[in-house]
Amino acid sequence: MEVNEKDIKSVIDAAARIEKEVAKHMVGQSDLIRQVLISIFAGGNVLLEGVPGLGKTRLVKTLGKVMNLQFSRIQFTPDLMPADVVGTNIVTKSDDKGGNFKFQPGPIFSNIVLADEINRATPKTQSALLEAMQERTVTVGNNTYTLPQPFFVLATQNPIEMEGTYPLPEAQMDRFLFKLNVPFPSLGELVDIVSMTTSQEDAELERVTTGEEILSIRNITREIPVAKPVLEYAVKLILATHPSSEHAAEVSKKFIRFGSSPRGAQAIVSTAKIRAVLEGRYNVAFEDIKYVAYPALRHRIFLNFEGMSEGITTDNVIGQIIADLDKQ
Amino acid sequence: MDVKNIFKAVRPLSRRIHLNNAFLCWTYAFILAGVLSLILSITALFFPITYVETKLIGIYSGIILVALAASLFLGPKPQKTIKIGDSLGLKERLVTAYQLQHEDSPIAKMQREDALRAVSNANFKALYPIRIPTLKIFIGITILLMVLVTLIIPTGAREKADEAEGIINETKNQVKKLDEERKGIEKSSMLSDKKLNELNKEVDQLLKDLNSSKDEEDALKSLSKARHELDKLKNSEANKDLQKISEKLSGNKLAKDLSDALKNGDAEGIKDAIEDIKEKLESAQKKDVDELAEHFKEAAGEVSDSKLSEDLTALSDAMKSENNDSIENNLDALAKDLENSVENGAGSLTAAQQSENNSIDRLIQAINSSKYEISKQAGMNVNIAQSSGQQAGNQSGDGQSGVGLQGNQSGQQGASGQSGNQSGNSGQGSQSGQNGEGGQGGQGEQSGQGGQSGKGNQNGSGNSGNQGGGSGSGNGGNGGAGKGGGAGNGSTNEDAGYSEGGSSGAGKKPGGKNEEEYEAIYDPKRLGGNSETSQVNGTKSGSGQSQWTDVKSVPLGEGGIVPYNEVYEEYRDEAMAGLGEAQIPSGMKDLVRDYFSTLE
Repeated sequence: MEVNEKDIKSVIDAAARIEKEVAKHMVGQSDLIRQVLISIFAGGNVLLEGVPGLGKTRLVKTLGKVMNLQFSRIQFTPDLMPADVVGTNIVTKSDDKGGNFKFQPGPIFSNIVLADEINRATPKTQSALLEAMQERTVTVGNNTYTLPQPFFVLATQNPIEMEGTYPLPEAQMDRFLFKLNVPFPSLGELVDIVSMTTSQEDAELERVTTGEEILSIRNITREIPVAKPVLEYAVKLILATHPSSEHAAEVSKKFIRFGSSPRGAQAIVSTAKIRAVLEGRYNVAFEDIKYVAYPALRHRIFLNFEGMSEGITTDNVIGQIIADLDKQ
Repeated sequence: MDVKNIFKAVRPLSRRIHLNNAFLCWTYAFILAGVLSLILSITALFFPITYVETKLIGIYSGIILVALAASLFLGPKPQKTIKIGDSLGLKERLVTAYQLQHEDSPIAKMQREDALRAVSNANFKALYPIRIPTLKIFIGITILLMVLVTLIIPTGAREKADEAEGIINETKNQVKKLDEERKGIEKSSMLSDKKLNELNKEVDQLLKDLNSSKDEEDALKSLSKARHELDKLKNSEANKDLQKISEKLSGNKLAKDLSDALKNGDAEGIKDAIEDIKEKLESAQKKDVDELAEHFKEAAGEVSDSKLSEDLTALSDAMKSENNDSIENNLDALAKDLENSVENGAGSLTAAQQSENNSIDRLIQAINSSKYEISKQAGMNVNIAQSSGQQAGNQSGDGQSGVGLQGNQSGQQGASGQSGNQSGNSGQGSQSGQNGEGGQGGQGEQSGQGGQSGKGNQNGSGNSGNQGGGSGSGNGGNGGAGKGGGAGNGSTNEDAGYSEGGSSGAGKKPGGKNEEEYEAIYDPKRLGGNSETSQVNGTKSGSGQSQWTDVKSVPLGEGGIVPYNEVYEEYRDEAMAGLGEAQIPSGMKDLVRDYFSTLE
């Protein structure tokens, strides 16, 4: 695909339009919105983690509306079954031939799927999302169904209410392109949120983009060049998270049980390209890598007991690894 | 859009990087030079190191020059410039453009254009300022100040170094003077080509030795050696007749000893050998006598001295006529003539040869003067004074009255003069001076030169600086007498009493034999070692008498008789080491030095 300057500008323009419309319903959280957008443009799934009431669900719903995409919401509960997510074959009667099995698509057949409180469902149900998230297909019985494009799963989870929850397994965590921590709003932002949500009506949202445009943006951003030193930096970053690697950082050796999978490197580079375009550049910079490293790696790094007992977070570890790499 | 445009736009940054690198390089060089200099200057506080200041300047200037030269090549490579440029906010635009320089895709072009825009808008002056490493410069200056402070701290080692510097400077100065003297001799054309070549060879060697001499010992040794060589050169013509006779007689079994004695210029040996011939002739066969007569006759035809030729012819005739009385008388006459020839070798010289010798004497005097100057610089005034007397002694006996070289010696010249008298057998000088000491200088009579006394005396007088002065007169061994006045200067007295005299009738070379054969001497394996103890066993009984005497046993078992050349170097080294360690008067040091240089 040949990319011209107009294409690049269209990406920047689309992002600006989306952010502007989302901002009508979301106060603050601009960085979070930017990261969600990056993830959507890259075609990845996002895991939003934050305490209740921070607007996670609102953000996803708003994005669905603004992007003019089909949106569905699944509230995950312990009794939620896989068929409730992906759909099931049901018996239908016809006048002449009697009963037939017909696939009834579940809520996952949508462009944007909000998997709310995903960690409340059983692993069986969580795993029903695996194929959809990675392959963009759903298999029920002997039949495989392709999901509509673009397809994103935007899942939320509450980090503090762990009673009766089922932490996501590592394999599923790896399917999320980004894990975004939803920060608590500042004083000013909170005032605005309260004012906005307690007034008569929400502002009207315009549909500023389409699924086709998002797919086009994805293709455009893939053309952005990455210089070899920058690519090596991203790869070194991944290797540095592995405690047994020769490139392992000291902090990795001390606090990490398992490092990032190669999907981490792919996630970093693909999202760094989008970030570069959104910053108005035609190349990926080190700062793009550093910017996306936190959301791309924080759910792919698993701390050991020492790390957890000392209260180390994966963000601390990533920050230290980046600092070590910058010294080299 | 060419990537070259980007690199062109980056050039100001490249220059700034180069300049900063250069500053850093110079500063490090400054610090390095300072550290090395500090080490040197601190070392110089404890060990005598000559020309410390010059060396420090050399270290600083050398290292800084190297740094200046190196800084020319410290311009950053393109990759380095790119890396720095990207780090200054260009956000990897440059490295990406560099990587995509051969790509022609639209995105690559856009990226290059974007990079060029970014570079053009970048204010490298603000982003990458020229950084003067003030802290490092301060460190360098501090070290420099420490170096300067250590330089002004007076220590014993520093004083020694100053003295050594003075000696080296003086040596160099003398090298120049000697070279000029040599050139003067060359210009005067007084020397034959052969002699001039030999003289040049000796002087070249001397100048080379002087230039490489590390201290005054080396320099004085070189000068002494050169002087001896020049003396030999000077006297080489003198004994030509004797050498010719020696050659003719060398094949004759009756006159072998005489031949050897003539060859060595051994007057006593000649006398003894002729006495020996007398004894041998009494029992010799007619054939041997005739053969000897024939050899004498041949020798008579070879020599240039008519008197000697006549003596030899007369002896040959007497031997052929078998007239024993005549033979004996003629042998006595020949002995006397030969002895005189040995002692007065120079007396038989032609005017040209005399002129050559005078030229060589000029150089010898210059060498003596150099020795004096170097010794004076080394604080060896006593030695110089003694040398001066010798110089005066050298002049005596030539019948050339005149003024010695410089006449500014201290007033101890008499010592040297006395030494001269010890070996000389002719001529005496007297000298008086204001201080009395200088007055003794004129007594110097060099043994070898003294042999020329038949032509007269040259009075030597030694002046001790501006105080001593004197005059002397000497009598020649053959009755010649002369008077003169002059001021002696510069030479040493070390020659007195040893081999130097051997070139004339009075002196003796060690051993009196051919040098090639080397005199055998006893060499204990361990110098100064104890002998082995011995024990006599006996049975103790109540009767009898016992008597014992304590004797000092000689450690013969530990050494052996060996040619002296085999042990010469070891002895010389021991002696030279002793000169440096022991409390020896400097005059005596010169004596030891010259003794060994003569053996060489």
